[in-house]
Amino acid sequence: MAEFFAMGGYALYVWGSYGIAAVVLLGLMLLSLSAHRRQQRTLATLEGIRQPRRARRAKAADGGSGGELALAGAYAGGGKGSADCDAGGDGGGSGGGDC
Amino acid sequence: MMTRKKRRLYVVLLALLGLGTAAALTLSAFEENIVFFYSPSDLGARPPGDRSVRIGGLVAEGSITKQADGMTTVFQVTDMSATVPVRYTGILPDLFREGQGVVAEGRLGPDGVFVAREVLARHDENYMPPEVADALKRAGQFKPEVPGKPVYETSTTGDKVHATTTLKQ
Amino acid sequence: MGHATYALAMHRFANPARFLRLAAVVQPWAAGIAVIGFVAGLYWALVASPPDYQQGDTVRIMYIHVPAAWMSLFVYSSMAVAAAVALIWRHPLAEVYARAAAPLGAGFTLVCLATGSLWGEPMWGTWWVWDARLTSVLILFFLYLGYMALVDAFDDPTRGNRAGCILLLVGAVNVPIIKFSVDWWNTLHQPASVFRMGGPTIHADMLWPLLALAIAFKAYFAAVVITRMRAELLARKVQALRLAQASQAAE
Repeated sequence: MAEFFAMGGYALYVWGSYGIAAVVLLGLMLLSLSAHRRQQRTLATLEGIRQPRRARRAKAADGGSGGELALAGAYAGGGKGSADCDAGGDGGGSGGGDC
Repeated sequence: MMTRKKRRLYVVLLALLGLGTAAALTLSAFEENIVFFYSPSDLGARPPGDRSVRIGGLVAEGSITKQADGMTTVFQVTDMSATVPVRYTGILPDLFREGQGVVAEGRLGPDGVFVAREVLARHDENYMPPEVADALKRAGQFKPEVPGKPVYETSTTGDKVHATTTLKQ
Repeated sequence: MGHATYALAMHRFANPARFLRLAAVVQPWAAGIAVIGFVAGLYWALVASPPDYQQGDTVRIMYIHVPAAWMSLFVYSSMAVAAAVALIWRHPLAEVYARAAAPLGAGFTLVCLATGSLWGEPMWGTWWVWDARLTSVLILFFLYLGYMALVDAFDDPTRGNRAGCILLLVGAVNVPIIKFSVDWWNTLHQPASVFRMGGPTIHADMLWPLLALAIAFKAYFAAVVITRMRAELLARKVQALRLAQASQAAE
């Protein structure tokens, strides 16, 4: 085991490389997910202010006005990207579908 | 509508063509400065005088000798047609060994010995486990002395392609 | 395909609803392939593969360095194509893609440069040299950064995107220079090992981890760039809503 971590005396270089790659790739992924969630929340808030009447009507009709974007929400179930659709939930019927 | 898109397409294509030509001309004009190192043959054809230059080639087999001070190494750099003796005082990179690629920066002395200020190892594009390399060596098929040539590949096309690469180096 | 049908096919993707439907199908697959690729690739790269006969265990840096280098070129090339599509056909999704991909491309280039440096120090004996390969990759990194700074430098986003697209096309000259620098000039960097005439010069035991991680990197990119494009589309919607609200309030 110790031999595995020693990497033939090049531990610093080998593990350093893998560490840098992990930090950059994971960092970019988390930044991207959080930016997406932030936009969802902003949109939900905005739509909540703008169209309370229409949203209520739409909710009564089919439970959401996300319309053309609603299908996109389906992706969140799979893969490593943790469920990033739930953030839209507080926007009620109008914003919930836009993930 | 269509014609405007077409016009934009031609403008972009023309601009790229012009840009590519300009880049090619610039690069070929600065060829000298882009070359990272000279081969021992180049050194003979165009003596650098007192200028600091880099030379690259292979460390000749059996040419490495340690001086008495323990820090100075003398070895020969070869490109198979010309050979230059090099003297260097300092710590050598891990990959520095006989038959390996090397780049040395320094000045050519009046005695014909290249005094290196810095020595860098250059590795080739072959990767394999040690056992495979040993097996190739035992079978007499291991020829790392030709840079750019795959050491375990026997296809003739590969050899041809690499003959030209070798000449350039 | 005729010009008209081609233009039509392109415009079908202009509709974000269509893109989002496609993205919803592609993203889980991409994420799944990325996870599998990383698990298998890292196991092969760090545990199952042998050390190199010359370079010992530092050869394991290659399994990160080379896929990152491939991605840095692939992402830039795709952004340059998107820039051409945006300039010529005014396709809105092309700009969205270029903006979404840029930070990822810059990240791959950074990983390529950093791991190359960590590999160069023990093997070459230096962290950095100004040879044609290393210098042209550093220029690629600055092109990514320059593009990201440029698109946000204008008050009018349309002008920012236009300027960014032109920069991407100009910088495309650098792509073949990077690829062929090791063949055209003497460089400290060694020539290509995989995409070369005469076949790869890497032993099969070392080719597998390389290919697994290359697939993982590409799938990772696909999954994350979709999230970034979604965020970008949402940002545009937010922008439009804000404008609408501002004009409502003014009434």
